[in-house]
Amino acid sequence: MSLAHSEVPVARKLRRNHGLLEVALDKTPGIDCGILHGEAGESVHVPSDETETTLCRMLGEPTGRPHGNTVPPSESDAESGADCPSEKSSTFATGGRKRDVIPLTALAPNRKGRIAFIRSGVGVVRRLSDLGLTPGTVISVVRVAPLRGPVEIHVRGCNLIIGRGIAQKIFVEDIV
Amino acid sequence: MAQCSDLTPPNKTPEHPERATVIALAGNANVGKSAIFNQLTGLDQVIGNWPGKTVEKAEGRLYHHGKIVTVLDLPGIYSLSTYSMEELVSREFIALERPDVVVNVIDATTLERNLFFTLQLLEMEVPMVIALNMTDAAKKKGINTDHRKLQERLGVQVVPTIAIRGIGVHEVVDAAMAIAVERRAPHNVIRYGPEVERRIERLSEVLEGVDTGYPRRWVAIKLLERYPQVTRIVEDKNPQPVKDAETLSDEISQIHREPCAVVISSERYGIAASTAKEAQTFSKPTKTSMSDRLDALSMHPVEGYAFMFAMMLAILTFISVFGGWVAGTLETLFEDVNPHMAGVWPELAWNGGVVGLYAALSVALGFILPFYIIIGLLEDWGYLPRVAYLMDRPCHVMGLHGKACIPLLLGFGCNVPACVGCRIMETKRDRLITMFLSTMVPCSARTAVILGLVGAFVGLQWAVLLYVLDFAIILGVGRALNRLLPGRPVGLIMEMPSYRRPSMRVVLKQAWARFKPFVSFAIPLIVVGSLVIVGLDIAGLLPGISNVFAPVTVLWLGLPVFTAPILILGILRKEASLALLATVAGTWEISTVMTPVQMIVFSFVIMLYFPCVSTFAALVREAGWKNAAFISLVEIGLAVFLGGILYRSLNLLM
Repeated sequence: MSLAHSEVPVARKLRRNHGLLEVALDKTPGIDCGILHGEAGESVHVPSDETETTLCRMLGEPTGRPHGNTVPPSESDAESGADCPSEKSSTFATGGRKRDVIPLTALAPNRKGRIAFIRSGVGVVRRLSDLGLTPGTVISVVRVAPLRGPVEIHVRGCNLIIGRGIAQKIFVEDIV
Repeated sequence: MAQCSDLTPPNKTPEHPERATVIALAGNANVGKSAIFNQLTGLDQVIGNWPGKTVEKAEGRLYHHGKIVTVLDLPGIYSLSTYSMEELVSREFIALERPDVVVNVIDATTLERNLFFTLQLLEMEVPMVIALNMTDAAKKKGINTDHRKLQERLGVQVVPTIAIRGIGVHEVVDAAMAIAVERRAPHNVIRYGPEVERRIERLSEVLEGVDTGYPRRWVAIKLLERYPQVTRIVEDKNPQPVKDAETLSDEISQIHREPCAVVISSERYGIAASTAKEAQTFSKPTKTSMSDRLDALSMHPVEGYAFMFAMMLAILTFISVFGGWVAGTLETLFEDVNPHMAGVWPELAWNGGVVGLYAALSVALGFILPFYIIIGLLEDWGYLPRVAYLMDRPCHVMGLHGKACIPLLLGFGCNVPACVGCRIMETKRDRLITMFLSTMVPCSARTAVILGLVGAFVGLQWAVLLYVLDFAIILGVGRALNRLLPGRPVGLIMEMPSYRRPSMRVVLKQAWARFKPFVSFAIPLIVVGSLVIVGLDIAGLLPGISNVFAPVTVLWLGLPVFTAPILILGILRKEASLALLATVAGTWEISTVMTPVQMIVFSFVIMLYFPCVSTFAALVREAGWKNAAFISLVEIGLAVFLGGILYRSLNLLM
């Protein structure tokens, strides 16, 4: 089967809805797992974009389906890393999901964190990644200025100071 | 304008008689490019320990085995795809003007991040040599770098250097010249993950036949990263690859759940990290470094601020006492030889010429030069970024972030480099606000007036009050501008360099470079100005001219009538006004001709009323005529309006 170029996103979206619905039905107690695929398949056209996003958020941004297939990523924002963006598409988030993450500002001095994602405008995300703050990078907090001031961090062998506003958008996994 | 000679390229319009070989120094901010440049060319490009000093490319020359070589010092740059104004200069130069050879200066203490940029140069296939700098500082930190391993891994010659002491610098030039002769581009060894690599290859195929003058692989990568300049170049020739690149870059975004540019950056950093790891060995430094211990104090939530204010007060007190002592000593020296001759000509010669000269020397040697040295010491020591950290939050009140403190602090020395330094601000809006505010910072010339007049004859506490008033006005104007100008402030992202021991040689050399225009311009100006004023006075013409301005100077501001021509000449150089007051008084004891209130109001007006001509010229160049005129008019208005209010309130108090 081959699809016209413009139809590809639509098909992908249906497959995504299919996956999400399957996960949702699977999590609902009392539904026979044998009928999941069929039932979900019947309803792929039902969820609107909004419902899809809400469903995705409620289910914790699932990536795997009950039968071992994967849920295709969202089409809502191609440049975005987030599957269910909670903000408008002018901001974008990079990096992963599904983990317990806290903003950099919640990290105490001398603690380390692994960057999960950065939720900000293109300029800031690129600037930070050029300075070595790429997803997966381990950073440590050196000190935090008083009165909601900037944060000094240690990353890739050098120290950076980052304003509170930006630091709040850098999400990290707390590692000991 | 001569004041900014230290920031403008020494040779702006180079002629290339036989097309000199061009060597460009490029690398991250604050890695020692300017230090290497100064070593090679014997010029005095400003160096200091903070990222963003070099905002324009500087050009110099050297002779290498009888050949003329042009050396270019480029502003620091972290990536070929960033947006800041000074970084743009470097990017455009490397990408578009293509020097014969690039010397990539890298900091051995932060090798990994530095290599990130090196990898981008490699991808561009520019002929290059690497100068591995600050090897001494790295050793102190317990970092040993095997430059041969680095060389092997990158396929580029690596020369270890300690630029500040000139070690290895000439070997770098030898290596660079050898490369420049052959224009031998390095073999690009960087390979990304398969999903990215496959798309680069596919895009390279589409790009076949699209001649951009750049390596095809590099163009493909830049298209995937959505690098606007390259996208435009390709689009003009053939829009198809750009469309394909968008699809491919979206696919990469889909796979990694991150924007494609970030995916590529991550992988590049991965390569940088593994390269650095291979070449470096670490030994634990025996004790916490001096810099870290200092930071525990200077960046402490309470002590840090106390330290900052104490230091400022100490500097003001020192300059005040030292300047007063120099002025007194010089006056005694000169008055000892005063022949006290009567008559018009001897009077003109003595009061106009000699008093003018020693007043000028007092201001220069007592106030300006020591101030330049102190600012230079702070700069070279690395204190400026600490202030950016401490003051980030307070700066938000004015819609700025902490980096704005750096030009503002430079403004204490001279407003001209402060205006140019505003380029480190990321947006036009932030640049304009910072520039406006930096022209109100009391520069060394104004400090000379405030301390030499109010500090010396009224009391240091009144001088401090003037500073406090000035800061309050700066804050108020900042707040107003923040409300008036459209746009939102951006956040602070800045590198924090370690403290280092300031090099006295560098500091003195730089203070001298900044001081030179004072000797060649201000001292003659003050002498001529005082001859004119004394001459007018003897001829009986002074009251006529002064009376024109009397409604403002005398009625509103309560100043003596003779201050009008002094205020006018003060537009050329503010410190001239102090020297000219001394000329009018016929002695350094200015208190004989002015009351304490008049001295405070006079200093206040001098502090605010107009950016001096040099600063005005810098404003025009950096922000355009309209903004420069706007800033000047607002300041004249503020100085006159608030000056009158100050006069009236002081009369109630004193």
